[in-house]
Amino acid sequence: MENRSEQDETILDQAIQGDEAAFSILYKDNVKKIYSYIYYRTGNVSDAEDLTARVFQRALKHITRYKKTSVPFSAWLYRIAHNLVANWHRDNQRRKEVPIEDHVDLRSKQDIPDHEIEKKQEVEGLMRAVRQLPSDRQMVLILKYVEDLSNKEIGEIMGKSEGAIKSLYHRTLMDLRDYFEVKE
Amino acid sequence: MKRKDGMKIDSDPDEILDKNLEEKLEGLLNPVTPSSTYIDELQNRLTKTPEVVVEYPNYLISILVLSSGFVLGTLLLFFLGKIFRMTSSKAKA
Repeated sequence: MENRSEQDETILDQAIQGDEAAFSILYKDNVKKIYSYIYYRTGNVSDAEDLTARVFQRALKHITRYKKTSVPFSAWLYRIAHNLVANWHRDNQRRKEVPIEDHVDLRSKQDIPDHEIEKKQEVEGLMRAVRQLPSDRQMVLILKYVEDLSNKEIGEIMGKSEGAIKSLYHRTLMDLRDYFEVKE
Repeated sequence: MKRKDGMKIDSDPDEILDKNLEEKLEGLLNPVTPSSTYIDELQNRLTKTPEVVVEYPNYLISILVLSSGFVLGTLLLFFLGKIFRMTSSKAKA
């Protein structure tokens, strides 16, 4: 979300006018970020792949309605992803959620070094804690740590001020700390 | 006042806990990359219009079959009628 170069602007303009090749470039620039966000929100590869595809299909369908002045393109994609993930959670409320361990490691346990198993368990514990949080707090954490975005950039995506993100982040940390304290 | 490890003794314990948690989060939450096959397949699905071949039924053949059936049927009825009439007139005679 840094200052877009003129070339990026041209590509975006072309994509808005329905140029599929230009959209393809935007897709390549953003697919990994969107996938990563959805993966952390859903916790499994197959749903992450399915929802990522739906994000870009929706973006392609509605790109002519996208206004450059409103939010950066990647922020627009994150908003689509956020809405789709929210719908996915709503639809799957009754179905048992499959957590991050669903991401099957094909190597046998004997081949995995102990420190790797420990790290995996730590990630699983942390992700369980993160998934207990309300959806906006999960979003803040993922965007901050996985996508390495600043509070200002997160604010642009979530439609909130930098200050609001800062306080939301602080409350999120407090919630997580409480979770670990209770666990320990 | 500082300890040997550089941490202030009078630091807020909550602040230290937050720092530890932030470090933990930073170390554990890393970007996840989808497979390149998936990226390429999705790109193809998005940007390449699927080739759909629509096969229209060949009406000409069906029209020919129906019309020839109609003609043959009419001829058959005509000849059967003629034979019937011939046999009935012979019987009267």
